[in-house]
Amino acid sequence: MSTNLERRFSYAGTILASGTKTASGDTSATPITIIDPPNAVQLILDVSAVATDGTDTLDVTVRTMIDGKNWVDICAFTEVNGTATKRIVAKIIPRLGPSVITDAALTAGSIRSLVGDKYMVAWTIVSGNAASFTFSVVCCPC
Amino acid sequence: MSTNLERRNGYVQTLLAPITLTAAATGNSQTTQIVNTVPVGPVTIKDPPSAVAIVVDVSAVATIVSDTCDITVQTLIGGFWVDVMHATQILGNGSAIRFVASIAASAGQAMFATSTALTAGNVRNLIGDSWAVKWVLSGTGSFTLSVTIIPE
Repeated sequence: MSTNLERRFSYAGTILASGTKTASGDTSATPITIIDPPNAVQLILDVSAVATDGTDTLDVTVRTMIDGKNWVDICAFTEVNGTATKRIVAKIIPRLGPSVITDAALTAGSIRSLVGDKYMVAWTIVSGNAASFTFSVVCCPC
Repeated sequence: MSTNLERRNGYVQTLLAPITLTAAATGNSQTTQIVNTVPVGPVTIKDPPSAVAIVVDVSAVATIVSDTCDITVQTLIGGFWVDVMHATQILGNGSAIRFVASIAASAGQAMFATSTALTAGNVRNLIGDSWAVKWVLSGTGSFTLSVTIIPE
């Protein structure tokens, strides 16, 4: 039987490895699985390089699958523009569950208290002037 | 069978052994280093806690009000160090003092950018795998203190 330490380390994961993106995309084809987080899920978006100016924007959303087939937005990180690197931290607590929701997209800077089994990232890049963002998303249950 | 207290005591970890930080020192224990002959380094807590208590025990301060010491505890989440507890600023003209803080895994935490500093006297309810302390002193005085973390 695994220890808590082994379980926890095996659950912590990289949803999106660091890479440079110039166009929108997602990881729906390569989601990660996190089973039974003890209390909450902590998410970090690390934008380590940006280009080129304020008209370039990056919106990153984390989605979870709670019914085995549909993705639901649970974290829309604050929008990042092309002028400065950023690291943004968010926390999702399942027991604080939302009231009735539709599956409408979350607005930037907000979360929903839902925790499923699988997690993916979607990102939207709007390029005003040769946009380029290098970023990663990690997930750590606690 | 061990009691909760016995189990808990086994997990108590010293983040920073009693140490005297001197004038305008700035540093952290994210990596192992020697500070005033005392080895300091990050601490890993095995067995994910539902909460941690943190005790900052300041046993001596010197000498004037403009001497200040800021102690911040950090946790490692997914490879990133994040500030989670910033003790109330310690002044050089005060007396020995002890600060206690609690961080809960089940408590909410608003989204934030790490470029936004955690101000003194506040916590963020985040729990990672490893823990470190950073310190920022200003002025010419010294401060003697220790930092302990207790999983709960």
